[in-house]
Amino acid sequence: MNRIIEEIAQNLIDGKKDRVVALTKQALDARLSLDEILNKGLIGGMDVVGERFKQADMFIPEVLLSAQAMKAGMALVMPLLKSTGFRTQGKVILGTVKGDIHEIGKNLVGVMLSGAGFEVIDIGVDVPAKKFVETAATQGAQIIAMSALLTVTMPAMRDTVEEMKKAGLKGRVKTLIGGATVTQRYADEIGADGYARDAASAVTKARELVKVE
Amino acid sequence: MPDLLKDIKNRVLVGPGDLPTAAAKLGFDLTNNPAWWAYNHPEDFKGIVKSWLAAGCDYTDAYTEHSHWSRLKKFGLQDKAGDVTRKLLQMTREVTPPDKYVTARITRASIFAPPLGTDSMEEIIAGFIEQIKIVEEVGADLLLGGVASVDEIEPTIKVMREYSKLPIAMLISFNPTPKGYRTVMGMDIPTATRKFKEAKVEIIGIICGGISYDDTTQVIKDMEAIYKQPFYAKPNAGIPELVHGQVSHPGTPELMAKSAQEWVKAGARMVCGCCGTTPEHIAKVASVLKSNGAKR
Repeated sequence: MNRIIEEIAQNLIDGKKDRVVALTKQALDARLSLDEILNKGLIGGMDVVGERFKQADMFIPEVLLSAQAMKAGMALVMPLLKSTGFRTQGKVILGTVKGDIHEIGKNLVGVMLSGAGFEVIDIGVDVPAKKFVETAATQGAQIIAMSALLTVTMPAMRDTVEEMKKAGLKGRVKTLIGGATVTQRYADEIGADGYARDAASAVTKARELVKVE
Repeated sequence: MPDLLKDIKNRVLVGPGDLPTAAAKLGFDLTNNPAWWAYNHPEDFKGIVKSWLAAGCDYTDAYTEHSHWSRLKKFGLQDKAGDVTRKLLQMTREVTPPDKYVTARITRASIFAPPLGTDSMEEIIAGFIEQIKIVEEVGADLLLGGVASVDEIEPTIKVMREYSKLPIAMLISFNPTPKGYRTVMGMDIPTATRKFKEAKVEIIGIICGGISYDDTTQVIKDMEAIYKQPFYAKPNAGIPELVHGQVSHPGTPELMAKSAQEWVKAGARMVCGCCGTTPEHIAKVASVLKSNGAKR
């Protein structure tokens, strides 16, 4: 792997946003492969962060700094990727459910999905079921991705699935859910199309969901 | 009025359970703010406090953690923090007999100061100061501090000492991880406990978090091994899960009472419960600790 790409990944892991921005510019100026900068440098670094978070080698403060660094690097790379005729994998409406204002996990998923080529429309936190569904309909989205950190707010995910049925979107738009207390069993119970335990898995699952269509 | 610190040398005090759990039975929506609910439902709130006393509590709590401005902000109510804090304390004091204690918790929502976020540490601390002054004005017997990261510990204790003469119990929420018990911000038991020791806080403890009743016993032992002080144990009634769409906690009153005996053996002098803990839990704990001769 090119040294600059390796340094992008390492500085992203270390949460050094300014270094990631400078190195990404350097990589672009050196006409290194956009795909390598994104997938090996930025996403590659974030994958390591995700794994370390799972192993309790990194915690929320470090993960947040790394996510900020990744977002800053991607802001340089994504416009260039789009101008090369890069086709989006699909459109995702992303939000934290009604009653819940936690957003760290959601933001990480958003960053990773964007990096994987999805167009992410992040509608924020405390999002009512109707807003997920209306936004998906007006934006022509393929996926509604919902996050909930608390057990007490998980039922709002079921509400969104029910709203989708009423709107005739169930089946046409897929639902992907995640969060600290969310499980595959809960996804099955409410009729969600997919469950992801972390941001990296969310990308894998999202790719599967758009292929199934 | 007995001195709480002297009292806990001689006996274990049993305290209340969780406000949101009790309020939910009276129609409170768990996604809303319980302090604001209490402010607008004074008779229901006082009824809940009385239910803890009826269950055998030696102290009540004013649940002032829910009225820090950071917890009211998402509802646009941050400017009501002072009013809500004052009313919570007044209502709690009103129904608590003079021979029982009142505690008040000083902590804030999980928000981030720069560079992780945009919320201001100065404003967070200012919110603590506002609440501590109100505690002094209305009256309480113990300040409970809650912190998740190392850099919060000193500023929190500093303002507690500066604005109040009350003893301090510093409480932590731990989760089990592959690298041992940690807070969500990654702080471990030795780091937290050593800081509490340096600051000479009178009581150390745990609250909420992702630990089970058994985990609580181990955490008490680990913290007491570093700083042997009276311990305040306020665990959840187990990790919540959704059962038929309703939040349910697996920790039963019998399990809590059995575990409480272990907590006392490990050093607990104040025992109560967080999420999922009901008057039935507290009554069982009070009964077992009393009949067990845990110097109550």
